Amino acid sequence: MPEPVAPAQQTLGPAMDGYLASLVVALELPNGERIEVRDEIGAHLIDLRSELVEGGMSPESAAAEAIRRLGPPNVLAHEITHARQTRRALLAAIGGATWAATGAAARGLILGLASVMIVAVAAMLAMAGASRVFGTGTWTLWDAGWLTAFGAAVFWAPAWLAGRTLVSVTARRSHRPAERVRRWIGLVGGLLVALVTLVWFRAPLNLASVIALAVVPAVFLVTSLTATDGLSEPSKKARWATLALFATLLVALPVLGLMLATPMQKQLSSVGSGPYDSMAAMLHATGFDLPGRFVTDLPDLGSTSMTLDQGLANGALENAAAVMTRWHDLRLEAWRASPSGGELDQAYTLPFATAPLTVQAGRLVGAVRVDSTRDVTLWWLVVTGISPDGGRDVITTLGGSNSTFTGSALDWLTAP
Amino acid sequence: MFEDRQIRAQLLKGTLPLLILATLRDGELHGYHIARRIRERSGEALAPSEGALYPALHRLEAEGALEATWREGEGGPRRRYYRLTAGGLAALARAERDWAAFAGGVNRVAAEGSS
Repeated sequence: MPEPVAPAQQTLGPAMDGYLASLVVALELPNGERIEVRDEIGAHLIDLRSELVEGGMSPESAAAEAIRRLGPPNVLAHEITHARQTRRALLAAIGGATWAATGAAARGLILGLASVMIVAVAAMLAMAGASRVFGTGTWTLWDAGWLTAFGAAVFWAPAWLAGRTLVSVTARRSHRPAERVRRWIGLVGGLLVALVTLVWFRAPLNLASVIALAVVPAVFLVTSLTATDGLSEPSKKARWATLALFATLLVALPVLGLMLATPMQKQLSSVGSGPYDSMAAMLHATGFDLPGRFVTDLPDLGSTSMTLDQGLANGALENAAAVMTRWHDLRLEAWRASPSGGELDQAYTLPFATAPLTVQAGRLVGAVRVDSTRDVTLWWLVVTGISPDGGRDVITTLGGSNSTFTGSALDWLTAP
Repeated sequence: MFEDRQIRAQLLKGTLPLLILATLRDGELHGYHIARRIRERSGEALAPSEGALYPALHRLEAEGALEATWREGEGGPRRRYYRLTAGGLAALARAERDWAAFAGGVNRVAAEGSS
Protein backbone atom coordinates (compact mmCIF):
# COMPACT_ATOMS: atom_id res chain seq x y z
CA MET A 1 0.00 0.00 0.00
CA PRO A 2 1.67 3.25 -1.13
CA GLU A 3 2.00 6.14 1.29
CA PRO A 4 -0.50 8.99 0.83
CA VAL A 5 0.83 12.03 -1.00
CA ALA A 6 0.03 15.69 -0.43
CA PRO A 7 -3.25 16.72 -2.09
CA ALA A 8 -3.13 18.78 -5.29
CA GLN A 9 -3.17 22.54 -4.76
CA GLN A 10 -5.81 23.06 -7.42
CA THR A 11 -9.11 21.18 -7.74
CA LEU A 12 -10.17 20.30 -11.29
CA GLY A 13 -13.69 19.14 -10.60
CA PRO A 14 -14.91 15.86 -9.15
CA ALA A 15 -14.35 13.71 -12.27
CA MET A 16 -10.79 14.83 -12.93
CA ASP A 17 -9.86 14.93 -9.22
CA GLY A 18 -11.18 11.38 -8.87
CA TYR A 19 -9.21 10.25 -11.91
CA LEU A 20 -5.97 11.79 -10.61
CA ALA A 21 -6.52 10.34 -7.13
CA SER A 22 -6.93 6.85 -8.63
CA LEU A 23 -3.84 7.41 -10.77
CA VAL A 24 -1.71 8.42 -7.78
CA VAL A 25 -2.77 5.37 -5.78
CA ALA A 26 -1.91 3.03 -8.67
CA LEU A 27 1.52 4.54 -9.38
CA GLU A 28 4.31 2.42 -7.87
CA LEU A 29 6.83 5.24 -7.77
CA PRO A 30 8.53 7.27 -5.03
CA ASN A 31 6.16 9.81 -3.50
CA GLY A 32 7.84 12.79 -5.16
CA GLU A 33 7.45 11.23 -8.60
CA ARG A 34 3.83 10.30 -7.94
CA ILE A 35 3.13 13.96 -7.25
CA GLU A 36 4.97 14.96 -10.45
CA VAL A 37 3.02 12.48 -12.60
CA ARG A 38 -0.24 13.65 -11.03
CA ASP A 39 0.58 17.29 -11.77
CA GLU A 40 1.71 16.48 -15.32
CA ILE A 41 -1.44 14.51 -16.17
CA GLY A 42 -3.56 17.12 -14.36
CA ALA A 43 -2.11 19.89 -16.56
CA HIS A 44 -2.80 17.75 -19.62
CA LEU A 45 -6.42 17.24 -18.56
CA ILE A 46 -6.87 20.99 -18.08
CA ASP A 47 -5.42 21.78 -21.51
CA LEU A 48 -7.42 19.09 -23.27
CA ARG A 49 -10.66 20.10 -21.52
CA SER A 50 -10.12 23.72 -22.56
CA GLU A 51 -9.53 22.65 -26.17
CA LEU A 52 -12.70 20.53 -26.16
CA VAL A 53 -14.76 23.31 -24.54
CA GLU A 54 -13.50 25.72 -27.21
CA GLY A 55 -14.66 23.14 -29.75
CA GLY A 56 -18.20 23.41 -28.40
CA MET A 57 -18.46 20.77 -25.66
CA SER A 58 -19.88 21.44 -22.23
CA PRO A 59 -17.25 21.49 -19.46
CA GLU A 60 -18.61 18.25 -17.98
CA SER A 61 -18.60 16.42 -21.32
CA ALA A 62 -15.15 17.83 -22.10
CA ALA A 63 -13.79 16.57 -18.79
CA ALA A 64 -15.29 13.13 -19.40
CA GLU A 65 -13.82 13.02 -22.92
CA ALA A 66 -10.38 14.12 -21.72
CA ILE A 67 -10.43 11.35 -19.12
CA ARG A 68 -11.59 8.80 -21.69
CA ARG A 69 -8.68 9.65 -23.98
CA LEU A 70 -6.15 8.99 -21.25
CA GLY A 71 -7.63 5.57 -20.58
CA PRO A 72 -8.19 3.79 -17.24
CA PRO A 73 -6.03 5.35 -14.49
CA ASN A 74 -4.64 2.02 -13.31
CA VAL A 75 -3.52 1.12 -16.87
CA LEU A 76 -1.88 4.52 -17.37
CA ALA A 77 -0.22 4.26 -13.94
CA HIS A 78 1.06 0.78 -14.76
CA GLU A 79 2.49 1.92 -18.12
CA ILE A 80 4.19 4.99 -16.64
CA THR A 81 5.57 3.00 -13.71
CA HIS A 82 7.13 0.40 -16.01
CA ALA A 83 8.43 3.04 -18.40
CA ARG A 84 10.43 4.64 -15.61
CA GLN A 85 11.68 1.52 -13.83
CA THR A 86 14.39 0.45 -16.26
CA ARG A 87 17.29 -1.88 -15.50
CA ARG A 88 19.66 0.97 -16.33
CA ALA A 89 17.99 3.13 -13.67
CA LEU A 90 18.29 0.34 -11.12
CA LEU A 91 22.01 -0.17 -11.79
CA ALA A 92 22.64 3.57 -11.67
CA ALA A 93 20.67 3.71 -8.41
CA ILE A 94 22.78 1.00 -6.79
CA GLY A 95 26.01 2.79 -7.72
CA GLY A 96 24.70 6.22 -6.77
CA ALA A 97 23.21 5.01 -3.49
CA THR A 98 26.43 3.25 -2.47
CA TRP A 99 28.41 6.43 -3.15
CA ALA A 100 25.91 8.63 -1.33
CA ALA A 101 25.75 6.23 1.63
CA THR A 102 29.55 6.25 1.88
CA GLY A 103 29.48 10.03 2.13
CA ALA A 104 26.66 9.92 4.68
CA ALA A 105 28.55 7.34 6.73
CA ALA A 106 31.65 9.55 6.70
CA ARG A 107 29.59 12.46 8.01
CA GLY A 108 28.04 10.11 10.57
CA LEU A 109 31.49 9.03 11.70
CA ILE A 110 32.35 12.62 12.63
CA LEU A 111 29.01 13.01 14.40
CA GLY A 112 29.45 9.67 16.21
CA LEU A 113 33.00 10.46 17.26
CA ALA A 114 31.98 13.83 18.66
CA SER A 115 28.96 12.36 20.50
CA VAL A 116 30.92 9.50 22.04
CA MET A 117 33.73 11.80 23.12
CA ILE A 118 31.23 14.04 24.91
CA VAL A 119 29.60 11.05 26.60
CA ALA A 120 32.98 9.51 27.49
CA VAL A 121 34.18 12.73 29.11
CA ALA A 122 30.88 13.00 31.01
CA ALA A 123 31.18 9.38 32.16
CA MET A 124 34.76 9.89 33.32
CA LEU A 125 33.74 12.99 35.27
CA ALA A 126 30.85 11.04 36.81
CA MET A 127 33.21 8.24 37.82
CA ALA A 128 35.68 10.71 39.29
CA GLY A 129 32.82 12.32 41.21
CA ALA A 130 31.59 8.96 42.46
CA SER A 131 35.10 8.06 43.51
CA ARG A 132 35.41 11.25 45.56
CA VAL A 133 31.95 10.92 47.14
CA PHE A 134 32.16 7.22 47.97
CA GLY A 135 35.89 7.16 48.71
CA THR A 136 36.54 4.24 46.45
CA GLY A 137 40.13 5.09 45.60
CA THR A 138 41.64 5.23 42.17
CA TRP A 139 39.47 3.91 39.41
CA THR A 140 40.48 3.02 35.95
CA LEU A 141 39.04 1.69 32.73
CA TRP A 142 40.49 -1.69 33.49
CA ASP A 143 38.67 -3.80 30.97
CA ALA A 144 39.84 -3.17 27.39
CA GLY A 145 36.36 -4.24 26.24
CA TRP A 146 35.17 -0.76 27.21
CA LEU A 147 37.33 0.82 24.57
CA THR A 148 35.67 -1.49 22.03
CA ALA A 149 32.25 -0.51 23.38
CA PHE A 150 32.90 3.18 22.91
CA GLY A 151 34.52 2.49 19.54
CA ALA A 152 31.43 0.56 18.41
CA ALA A 153 29.16 3.38 19.59
CA VAL A 154 30.97 5.70 17.18
CA PHE A 155 29.46 3.64 14.35
CA TRP A 156 25.82 4.04 15.41
CA ALA A 157 25.48 7.40 13.67
CA PRO A 158 27.12 6.21 10.41
CA ALA A 159 24.81 3.17 10.40
CA TRP A 160 21.81 5.43 10.93
CA LEU A 161 22.72 7.87 8.17
CA ALA A 162 23.91 5.21 5.71
CA GLY A 163 20.70 3.15 6.08
CA ARG A 164 18.52 6.19 5.50
CA THR A 165 20.57 7.42 2.55
CA LEU A 166 20.73 4.03 0.86
CA VAL A 167 16.93 3.70 0.86
CA SER A 168 16.28 7.29 -0.11
CA VAL A 169 18.74 7.42 -3.02
CA THR A 170 17.95 3.93 -4.31
CA ALA A 171 14.23 4.70 -4.31
CA ARG A 172 14.62 8.03 -6.07
CA ARG A 173 17.14 6.92 -8.70
CA SER A 174 15.56 3.57 -9.46
CA HIS A 175 12.07 5.16 -9.52
CA ARG A 176 10.76 2.64 -7.05
CA PRO A 177 8.73 3.39 -3.93
CA ALA A 178 10.74 3.48 -0.71
CA GLU A 179 8.54 0.81 0.83
CA ARG A 180 9.53 -1.59 -1.95
CA VAL A 181 13.32 -1.10 -1.75
CA ARG A 182 13.76 -0.63 1.98
CA ARG A 183 12.92 -4.23 2.87
CA TRP A 184 15.76 -5.49 0.70
CA ILE A 185 18.22 -2.83 1.74
CA GLY A 186 17.32 -3.35 5.39
CA LEU A 187 17.69 -7.10 5.26
CA VAL A 188 20.68 -7.46 2.93
CA GLY A 189 22.50 -4.38 4.27
CA GLY A 190 21.65 -5.27 7.86
CA LEU A 191 23.00 -8.78 7.31
CA LEU A 192 26.23 -7.45 5.80
CA VAL A 193 26.68 -4.94 8.63
CA ALA A 194 25.96 -7.71 11.16
CA LEU A 195 28.54 -9.98 9.51
CA VAL A 196 31.15 -7.24 9.80
CA THR A 197 30.36 -6.14 13.36
CA LEU A 198 29.44 -9.50 14.90
CA VAL A 199 31.51 -12.06 12.99
CA TRP A 200 34.43 -10.44 11.18
CA PHE A 201 35.46 -7.72 13.65
CA ARG A 202 37.70 -9.03 16.44
CA ALA A 203 38.61 -7.02 19.51
CA PRO A 204 38.74 -7.18 23.30
CA LEU A 205 35.10 -7.65 24.35
CA ASN A 206 32.85 -7.44 27.36
CA LEU A 207 29.06 -7.47 27.61
CA ALA A 208 28.75 -3.74 26.92
CA SER A 209 30.93 -3.94 23.81
CA VAL A 210 28.96 -6.91 22.45
CA ILE A 211 25.73 -4.93 22.97
CA ALA A 212 27.30 -1.84 21.37
CA LEU A 213 28.42 -3.92 18.37
CA ALA A 214 24.97 -5.54 18.04
CA VAL A 215 23.35 -2.09 18.08
CA VAL A 216 25.20 -1.12 14.85
CA PRO A 217 23.29 -3.52 12.52
CA ALA A 218 20.14 -2.98 14.58
CA VAL A 219 20.31 0.78 13.98
CA PHE A 220 20.93 0.17 10.27
CA LEU A 221 17.97 -2.21 10.08
CA VAL A 222 15.55 0.07 11.93
CA THR A 223 16.49 3.25 10.07
CA SER A 224 16.45 1.61 6.64
CA LEU A 225 13.12 -0.12 7.31
CA THR A 226 11.54 3.18 8.28
CA ALA A 227 13.28 5.39 5.69
CA THR A 228 11.36 7.29 3.03
CA ASP A 229 12.36 8.31 -0.48
CA GLY A 230 13.46 11.63 0.99
CA LEU A 231 11.07 13.77 -1.03
CA SER A 232 8.27 13.35 1.46
CA GLU A 233 9.11 14.87 4.80
CA PRO A 234 9.22 12.47 7.77
CA SER A 235 6.72 13.34 10.46
CA LYS A 236 7.80 15.39 13.45
CA LYS A 237 6.96 12.43 15.65
CA ALA A 238 9.24 10.10 13.66
CA ARG A 239 12.06 12.63 13.79
CA TRP A 240 11.78 13.00 17.56
CA ALA A 241 11.53 9.23 18.01
CA THR A 242 14.78 8.71 16.06
CA LEU A 243 16.55 11.40 18.06
CA ALA A 244 15.27 9.95 21.35
CA LEU A 245 16.41 6.45 20.36
CA PHE A 246 19.89 7.68 19.49
CA ALA A 247 20.23 9.69 22.70
CA THR A 248 18.95 6.79 24.81
CA LEU A 249 21.43 4.38 23.29
CA LEU A 250 24.27 6.80 23.76
CA VAL A 251 23.43 7.42 27.40
CA ALA A 252 22.68 3.73 28.04
CA LEU A 253 26.26 2.71 27.38
CA PRO A 254 27.96 4.46 30.32
CA VAL A 255 24.92 3.78 32.52
CA LEU A 256 25.27 0.09 31.74
CA GLY A 257 28.92 0.41 32.60
CA LEU A 258 28.17 1.95 35.95
CA MET A 259 25.62 -0.78 36.65
CA LEU A 260 27.96 -3.60 35.76
CA ALA A 261 30.86 -1.79 37.37
CA THR A 262 33.36 -3.78 35.38
CA PRO A 263 35.29 -0.70 34.33
CA MET A 264 35.58 0.36 37.92
CA GLN A 265 38.05 -2.27 39.01
CA LYS A 266 40.61 -1.12 41.46
CA GLN A 267 43.92 -0.51 39.82
CA LEU A 268 45.90 -3.68 40.34
CA SER A 269 49.62 -3.80 40.09
CA SER A 270 51.41 -5.95 37.60
CA VAL A 271 52.44 -9.57 38.00
CA GLY A 272 54.79 -10.34 40.86
CA SER A 273 53.99 -7.46 43.15
CA GLY A 274 51.12 -6.24 45.31
CA PRO A 275 48.46 -8.83 46.11
CA TYR A 276 50.25 -11.55 44.17
CA ASP A 277 53.24 -11.51 46.53
CA SER A 278 51.30 -13.30 49.22
CA MET A 279 49.74 -15.73 46.83
CA ALA A 280 50.44 -18.88 48.81
CA ALA A 281 48.78 -17.45 51.89
CA MET A 282 45.87 -16.25 49.88
CA LEU A 283 45.43 -19.58 48.22
CA HIS A 284 44.92 -21.16 51.59
CA ALA A 285 42.85 -18.30 52.92
CA THR A 286 40.46 -18.43 50.06
CA GLY A 287 40.15 -22.18 50.05
CA PHE A 288 42.02 -22.67 46.84
CA ASP A 289 43.05 -26.14 47.99
CA LEU A 290 39.43 -27.26 47.81
CA PRO A 291 39.74 -28.87 44.40
CA GLY A 292 43.25 -30.09 45.17
CA ARG A 293 45.74 -30.34 47.99
CA PHE A 294 48.13 -27.51 48.57
CA VAL A 295 51.68 -28.84 48.94
CA THR A 296 53.76 -27.44 51.79
CA ASP A 297 56.92 -29.56 51.49
CA LEU A 298 57.80 -28.53 47.95
CA PRO A 299 60.95 -29.89 46.33
CA ASP A 300 63.31 -27.45 44.62
CA LEU A 301 61.33 -26.42 41.55
CA GLY A 302 63.97 -24.11 40.18
CA SER A 303 62.89 -20.75 38.89
CA THR A 304 59.36 -20.37 37.59
CA SER A 305 58.08 -17.93 35.01
CA MET A 306 54.91 -16.74 33.44
CA THR A 307 54.52 -14.62 30.31
CA LEU A 308 51.44 -13.33 28.57
CA ASP A 309 51.53 -13.01 24.82
CA GLN A 310 48.45 -12.16 22.73
CA GLY A 311 46.05 -13.87 25.10
CA LEU A 312 48.27 -16.92 25.59
CA ALA A 313 49.61 -17.38 29.13
CA ASN A 314 52.86 -19.34 29.02
CA GLY A 315 54.13 -21.05 32.17
CA ALA A 316 57.51 -22.67 32.79
CA LEU A 317 59.21 -24.63 35.64
CA GLU A 318 62.99 -25.01 35.38
CA ASN A 319 63.45 -28.19 37.40
CA ALA A 320 61.24 -30.65 35.59
CA ALA A 321 62.94 -33.70 37.08
CA ALA A 322 62.16 -32.69 40.66
CA VAL A 323 58.48 -32.40 39.85
CA MET A 324 58.20 -35.49 37.69
CA THR A 325 59.65 -37.84 40.31
CA ARG A 326 56.66 -37.09 42.55
CA TRP A 327 53.73 -36.14 40.27
CA HIS A 328 52.33 -37.13 36.91
CA ASP A 329 49.57 -35.74 34.63
CA LEU A 330 51.01 -32.27 35.17
CA ARG A 331 48.73 -29.41 34.21
CA LEU A 332 48.81 -25.67 33.82
CA GLU A 333 45.52 -24.24 35.15
CA ALA A 334 44.08 -20.74 34.91
CA TRP A 335 41.71 -19.71 37.72
CA ARG A 336 39.47 -16.68 37.93
CA ALA A 337 40.37 -14.06 40.51
CA SER A 338 37.73 -11.92 42.15
CA PRO A 339 37.52 -8.37 40.84
CA SER A 340 37.86 -6.77 44.27
CA GLY A 341 41.52 -7.19 44.96
CA GLY A 342 43.23 -10.38 43.98
CA GLU A 343 41.58 -13.26 45.88
CA LEU A 344 40.39 -16.27 43.99
CA ASP A 345 36.79 -15.99 42.92
CA GLN A 346 34.90 -18.20 45.35
CA ALA A 347 32.10 -18.69 42.86
CA TYR A 348 34.23 -21.09 40.85
CA THR A 349 35.53 -24.50 41.86
CA LEU A 350 37.11 -25.35 38.50
CA PRO A 351 39.76 -23.60 36.41
CA PHE A 352 38.49 -21.80 33.31
CA ALA A 353 41.35 -23.10 31.16
CA THR A 354 43.81 -25.97 31.42
CA ALA A 355 46.68 -27.33 29.33
CA PRO A 356 49.16 -30.22 29.81
CA LEU A 357 52.72 -29.39 30.82
CA THR A 358 55.40 -31.02 28.70
CA VAL A 359 59.15 -31.41 29.16
CA GLN A 360 61.36 -29.37 26.87
CA ALA A 361 65.11 -29.29 27.52
CA GLY A 362 64.63 -30.18 31.16
CA ARG A 363 61.94 -27.54 31.68
CA LEU A 364 58.23 -28.06 32.16
CA VAL A 365 56.38 -25.77 29.80
CA GLY A 366 52.76 -25.21 28.85
CA ALA A 367 50.39 -22.52 27.64
CA VAL A 368 46.72 -21.76 28.21
CA ARG A 369 44.52 -19.31 26.34
CA VAL A 370 43.15 -16.76 28.79
CA ASP A 371 41.30 -14.46 26.35
CA SER A 372 38.63 -16.82 25.11
CA THR A 373 36.44 -17.18 28.20
CA ARG A 374 33.74 -14.64 28.91
CA ASP A 375 33.95 -12.42 31.97
CA VAL A 376 37.51 -13.38 32.79
CA THR A 377 39.45 -10.28 33.70
CA LEU A 378 41.82 -11.21 36.52
CA TRP A 379 43.27 -14.68 36.85
CA TRP A 380 45.98 -16.79 38.41
CA LEU A 381 48.05 -19.44 36.79
CA VAL A 382 48.89 -22.59 38.83
CA VAL A 383 50.64 -25.90 38.25
CA THR A 384 48.90 -29.08 39.43
CA GLY A 385 49.73 -32.77 39.22
CA ILE A 386 48.52 -36.20 40.38
CA SER A 387 50.49 -37.62 43.31
CA PRO A 388 51.15 -41.38 43.75
CA ASP A 389 48.09 -41.67 46.02
CA GLY A 390 45.85 -40.48 43.13
CA GLY A 391 44.95 -37.02 44.47
CA ARG A 392 45.55 -33.82 42.53
CA ASP A 393 47.96 -31.45 44.26
CA VAL A 394 48.47 -27.77 43.72
CA ILE A 395 52.24 -27.70 43.22
CA THR A 396 52.86 -24.00 42.78
CA THR A 397 51.50 -20.75 41.44
CA LEU A 398 53.20 -19.00 38.55
CA GLY A 399 51.56 -15.61 38.98
CA GLY A 400 48.50 -13.69 37.97
CA SER A 401 47.54 -11.09 35.48
CA ASN A 402 44.59 -9.65 33.66
CA SER A 403 43.21 -10.10 30.19
CA THR A 404 40.06 -9.39 28.25
CA PHE A 405 38.09 -11.73 26.07
CA THR A 406 39.30 -11.17 22.52
CA GLY A 407 37.46 -12.30 19.43
CA SER A 408 34.31 -11.55 17.52
CA ALA A 409 30.96 -10.81 19.15
CA LEU A 410 29.77 -14.19 17.87
CA ASP A 411 32.74 -15.86 19.59
CA TRP A 412 31.77 -14.03 22.79
CA LEU A 413 28.15 -15.14 22.54
CA THR A 414 29.08 -18.77 21.97
CA ALA A 415 32.03 -18.86 24.39
CA PRO A 416 31.84 -20.79 27.68
CA MET B 1 -13.05 -0.78 -40.45
CA PHE B 2 -12.12 -2.08 -37.02
CA GLU B 3 -9.03 -3.78 -38.46
CA ASP B 4 -7.96 -0.54 -40.15
CA ARG B 5 -8.09 1.28 -36.83
CA GLN B 6 -6.17 -1.48 -35.12
CA ILE B 7 -3.41 -1.49 -37.76
CA ARG B 8 -3.17 2.28 -37.56
CA ALA B 9 -2.97 2.16 -33.75
CA GLN B 10 -0.24 -0.48 -33.90
CA LEU B 11 1.71 1.54 -36.48
CA LEU B 12 1.36 4.65 -34.37
CA LYS B 13 2.46 2.87 -31.22
CA GLY B 14 5.58 1.54 -32.93
CA THR B 15 6.51 4.93 -34.36
CA LEU B 16 5.55 7.05 -31.36
CA PRO B 17 9.11 7.44 -30.02
CA LEU B 18 10.26 8.60 -33.46
CA LEU B 19 7.35 11.04 -33.67
CA ILE B 20 8.09 12.45 -30.20
CA LEU B 21 11.82 12.83 -30.88
CA ALA B 22 11.16 14.46 -34.25
CA THR B 23 8.61 16.85 -32.73
CA LEU B 24 11.08 17.96 -30.08
CA ARG B 25 13.84 18.66 -32.61
CA ASP B 26 12.73 22.30 -32.82
CA GLY B 27 12.67 22.91 -29.08
CA GLU B 28 11.14 21.95 -25.76
CA LEU B 29 7.42 21.21 -25.38
CA HIS B 30 5.12 19.76 -22.75
CA GLY B 31 3.07 16.60 -23.26
CA TYR B 32 -0.15 18.22 -24.42
CA HIS B 33 1.70 20.35 -26.98
CA ILE B 34 3.64 17.36 -28.27
CA ALA B 35 0.39 15.48 -28.96
CA ARG B 36 -1.11 18.53 -30.62
CA ARG B 37 2.01 19.19 -32.72
CA ILE B 38 1.99 15.60 -34.00
CA ARG B 39 -1.65 15.92 -34.96
CA GLU B 40 -1.10 19.24 -36.71
CA ARG B 41 2.05 18.24 -38.58
CA SER B 42 0.50 15.01 -39.79
CA GLY B 43 -2.53 16.90 -41.05
CA GLU B 44 -4.67 15.14 -38.40
CA ALA B 45 -3.65 11.79 -39.90
CA LEU B 46 -1.81 10.81 -36.74
CA ALA B 47 -3.46 11.33 -33.36
CA PRO B 48 -1.44 9.59 -30.68
CA SER B 49 -3.43 8.32 -27.75
CA GLU B 50 -2.68 10.34 -24.64
CA GLY B 51 -2.63 7.07 -22.72
CA ALA B 52 0.34 5.95 -24.83
CA LEU B 53 2.04 9.34 -25.08
CA TYR B 54 2.99 9.78 -21.44
CA PRO B 55 4.48 6.29 -20.91
CA ALA B 56 6.50 6.85 -24.11
CA LEU B 57 7.73 10.23 -22.85
CA HIS B 58 8.73 8.74 -19.49
CA ARG B 59 10.46 5.80 -21.18
CA LEU B 60 12.48 8.11 -23.44
CA GLU B 61 13.41 10.19 -20.40
CA ALA B 62 14.47 7.08 -18.47
CA GLU B 63 16.60 5.99 -21.44
CA GLY B 64 18.33 9.36 -21.46
CA ALA B 65 16.92 10.55 -24.80
CA LEU B 66 14.90 13.34 -23.17
CA GLU B 67 15.35 15.72 -20.28
CA ALA B 68 12.39 17.15 -18.39
CA THR B 69 12.07 20.50 -16.61
CA TRP B 70 9.16 21.91 -14.63
CA ARG B 71 8.01 25.41 -15.57
CA GLU B 72 5.33 27.41 -13.82
CA GLY B 73 2.37 28.07 -16.10
CA GLU B 74 1.04 31.60 -16.55
CA GLY B 75 -2.05 31.51 -14.40
CA GLY B 76 -2.32 27.75 -14.90
CA PRO B 77 -0.69 24.72 -13.34
CA ARG B 78 3.02 24.00 -13.65
CA ARG B 79 3.97 21.97 -16.74
CA ARG B 80 6.66 19.47 -17.50
CA TYR B 81 8.66 20.43 -20.56
CA TYR B 82 10.70 17.87 -22.48
CA ARG B 83 13.73 18.53 -24.64
CA LEU B 84 16.11 16.36 -26.63
CA THR B 85 19.46 15.41 -25.15
CA ALA B 86 22.56 14.66 -27.22
CA GLY B 87 21.67 10.99 -26.85
CA GLY B 88 18.15 11.81 -27.99
CA LEU B 89 19.45 13.49 -31.13
CA ALA B 90 21.54 10.42 -31.94
CA ALA B 91 18.54 8.18 -31.23
CA LEU B 92 16.41 10.32 -33.56
CA ALA B 93 18.96 9.98 -36.37
CA ARG B 94 19.00 6.20 -35.91
CA ALA B 95 15.20 6.00 -35.75
CA GLU B 96 14.87 8.04 -38.92
CA ARG B 97 17.30 5.78 -40.79
CA ASP B 98 15.47 2.67 -39.53
CA TRP B 99 12.11 4.13 -40.46
CA ALA B 100 13.28 5.11 -43.95
CA ALA B 101 14.59 1.60 -44.54
CA PHE B 102 11.43 0.04 -43.13
CA ALA B 103 9.02 2.31 -44.99
CA GLY B 104 11.01 1.87 -48.22
CA GLY B 105 10.79 -1.89 -47.85
CA VAL B 106 7.05 -1.80 -47.13
CA ASN B 107 6.50 0.53 -50.11
CA ARG B 108 8.43 -1.74 -52.45
CA VAL B 109 6.51 -4.82 -51.37
CA ALA B 110 3.17 -2.97 -51.59
CA ALA B 111 4.04 -1.53 -55.03
CA GLU B 112 5.07 -4.96 -56.35
CA GLY B 113 1.86 -6.54 -55.05
CA SER B 114 -0.32 -3.94 -56.77
CA SER B 115 1.47 -4.08 -60.15
